[in-house]
Amino acid sequence: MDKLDDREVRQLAELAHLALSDDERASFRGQLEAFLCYAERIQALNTVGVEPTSYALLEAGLEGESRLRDDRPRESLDRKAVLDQAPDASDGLFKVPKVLP
Amino acid sequence: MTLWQETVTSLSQKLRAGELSAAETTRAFTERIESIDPSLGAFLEPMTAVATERAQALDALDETKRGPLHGVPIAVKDIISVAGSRCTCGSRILEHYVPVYDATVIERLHAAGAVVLGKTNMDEFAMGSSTENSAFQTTKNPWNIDRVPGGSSGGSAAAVAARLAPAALGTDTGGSIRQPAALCGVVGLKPTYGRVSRYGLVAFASSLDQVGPMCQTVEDAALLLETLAGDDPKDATCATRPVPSYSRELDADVAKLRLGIPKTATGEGIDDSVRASFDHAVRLFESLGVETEAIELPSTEHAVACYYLLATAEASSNLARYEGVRYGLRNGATKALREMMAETRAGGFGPEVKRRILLGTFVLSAGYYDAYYQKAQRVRSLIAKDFENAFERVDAVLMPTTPTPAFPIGDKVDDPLSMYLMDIFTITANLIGAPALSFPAGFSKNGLPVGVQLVGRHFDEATILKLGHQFQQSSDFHCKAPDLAR
Repeated sequence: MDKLDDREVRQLAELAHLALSDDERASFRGQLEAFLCYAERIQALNTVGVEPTSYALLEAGLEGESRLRDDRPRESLDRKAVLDQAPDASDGLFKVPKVLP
Repeated sequence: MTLWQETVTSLSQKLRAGELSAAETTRAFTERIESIDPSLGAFLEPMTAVATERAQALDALDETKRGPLHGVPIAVKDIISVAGSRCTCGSRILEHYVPVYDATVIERLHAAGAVVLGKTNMDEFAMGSSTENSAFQTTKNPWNIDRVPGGSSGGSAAAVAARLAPAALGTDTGGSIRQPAALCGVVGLKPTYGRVSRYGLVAFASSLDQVGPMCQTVEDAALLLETLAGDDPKDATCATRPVPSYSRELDADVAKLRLGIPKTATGEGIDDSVRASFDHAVRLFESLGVETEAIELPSTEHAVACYYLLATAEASSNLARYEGVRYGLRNGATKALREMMAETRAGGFGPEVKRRILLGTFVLSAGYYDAYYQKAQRVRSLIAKDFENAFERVDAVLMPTTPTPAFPIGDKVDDPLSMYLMDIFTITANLIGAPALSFPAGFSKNGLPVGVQLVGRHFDEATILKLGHQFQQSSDFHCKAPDLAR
């Protein structure tokens, strides 16, 4: 693992939509580096021919049957109650600030 | 024994028989929360009024309509949706969020007659091993208020240990039920992945998260799992297979069952008290006629690295939903959309959540995806293979739950890696999707509880519950309570 530089941390923060201060970036950079240095050990394991596991039970052959349901209309959550949780909503829609600056 | 010291099993028998009313039972606990919790901080939001009203309604029910948990009060980790009550996940970003529906586990508890007592404190979005990452308060360990209760379900563990609730729900992504259970001297069960519905559980790492019970005895865990488990069409990852009657199998013969003892279980970095309790547990199981054998799990030394690469990747994706639009906090409302989102997330998330989002974003980013994310997924397969091999020879694996007893508050907050290493024994069960049960097995010299855990085959909760129950029939570690609960 090469050292992470500030530019990379800045880019990660942007990808993750996180506004970070200079101090935060500096401290996260050190902590991420320390973890990645620790995690480097897995590179030494031989995984040639080993399939990746995303869901443990699928790989163990225990689950995996289709859970798709019939496409029929049914009752869902109350729209007003859901929109009441939004920071801003009107006319039955979520409202966001202007998209173009 | 006073009412608030009783187990779920004992309370439910008395409540169903009409020897206790739901109202007096709920009152015993709400009064205790009011008097004791200010010194512990286990609850974020007691639900006294709602719980009292519900208990009164249960008392008015016809005798024939009493469910298996009729009138039993239960605390709920604040990451599980209870309609009409705030669900903060220990985060500023959801400080005022009120779910409009019940999680399936809450529906099931209600259907069984249980009373939700309140929402318990936790590490923000279940990310942590000490509950110090809560945005709202620090929860103290009832055995020693200078120590952490563990995490991330630290509020639930502390509530049960202090007898502020006879049982609580927790969630376990890398040990978040079992580790605090061990550090607080209570029982914690992480069911098999898919055994319990996650509809209404706020997601952290979807290939690892499970809901499970925390309580005083293994018998209680069996009873609670019978209510919680089972298929749910609202959760596509929920298993369809039938739920066995765990309680009925608790006393079945355990002689000749085979227990695997990993060679790493008492290795480097393990506290003497943990090693002594573990060795004692091995001997106790042998005295019950259980056969033990040493096993090797060679890939598990990579489990912490594997887990934190995968869990953070999944978290960075799951937590993308907090963007200040559909619910929760919005900062920078007058700015452009992207800035509003970045400022909302900057102000709403605490340092550990930001750290994990950044790490997960790194792991999934172009150029690192194969070397980290996919490599970790392959290591996950190797760890699963280790256990598969072991389970050909043994019926369950016994391990310490944590390498040390509860550590002092503030001890590890500035050193994330040392905090992550606290999970070394718990995360393997999540990576392989197997059930695991932690229960009290001893005390350190300075009186802090120590736990051990049994890991079972997929969907074989029955075997680890049976073993755990019979361990408790032959020991009294689980009968001891901290001073403030005597």
